[in-house]
Amino acid sequence: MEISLTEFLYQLGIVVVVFALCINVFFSKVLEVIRDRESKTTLLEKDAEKRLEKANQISESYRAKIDLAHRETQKVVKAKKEEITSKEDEKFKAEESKMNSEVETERKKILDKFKTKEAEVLKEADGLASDLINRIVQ
Amino acid sequence: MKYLLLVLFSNSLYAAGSGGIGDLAAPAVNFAIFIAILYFALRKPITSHFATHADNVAETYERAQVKKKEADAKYNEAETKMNNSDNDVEKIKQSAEEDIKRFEKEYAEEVTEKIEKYRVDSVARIKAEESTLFNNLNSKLVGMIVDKAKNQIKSDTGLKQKATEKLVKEVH
Repeated sequence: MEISLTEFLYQLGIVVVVFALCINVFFSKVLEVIRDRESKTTLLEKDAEKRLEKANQISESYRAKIDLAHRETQKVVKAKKEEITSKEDEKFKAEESKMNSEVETERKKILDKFKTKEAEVLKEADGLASDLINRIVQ
Repeated sequence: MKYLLLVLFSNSLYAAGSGGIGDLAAPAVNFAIFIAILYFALRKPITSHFATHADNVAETYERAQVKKKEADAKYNEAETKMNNSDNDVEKIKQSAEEDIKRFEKEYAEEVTEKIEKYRVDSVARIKAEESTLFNNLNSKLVGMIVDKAKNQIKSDTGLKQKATEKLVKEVH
């Protein structure tokens, strides 16, 4: 079977025309459907994954920011509390020292009073002993 | 299909001569038989395959939708949180300041109470010391007077006799 060049060119032209028609009528629709399906399935999934990743990054940044704020405030709170404690303890020590000094002064006064009283009492001891004898005897 | 067969057979009837369209009758029949075999042989597997494929696609679509919705929700939540993060940091600082103020007040009260207690204890201690000291002095004085009286009575016979007489009298 022999095919002439003209016949071959006709056939080729028919194939090209059919192919062009298929592209316009059929393939483009199929491609559109495939692309649509892809965009609603795999691409959407990928997009969701990217978004999820981004959300996780934001969450991580938020957590880091809050942690940092916590750490910094805790540091400040600790320093401030130490300062307050130190100040109040000093105040207590000053008061304690003052009260101890007052106690010592009071103790000295009492001892002086005691010594004076003791001397007075010892002086009166003989007289009181005579009174007692008189009461026993009479 | 029916129309195609009709056309082919009708052509074969009217153009049975060689070189005419009637020559296509036999291949057309062959082709029809072939198509029919293919149709009956492959109809179920192909239908099943496409149905499964459609199910898979639908499932993937559903899954992707759910995933996207979840991701969007999570993203929006994270973004809202991040947008409010300055407020949250401010809240943490405020809470810390309140904590410091509360601690300062409570510790100051505690120290004031401690000072007051120490003051009360000191006064009580000094009073107790004074009381003990003077009680001891009284006891010492009483002992001394009794000893002196005893010694005088013992050393003086007249006093001794008088004291004995008085005691005997009081016993009777």
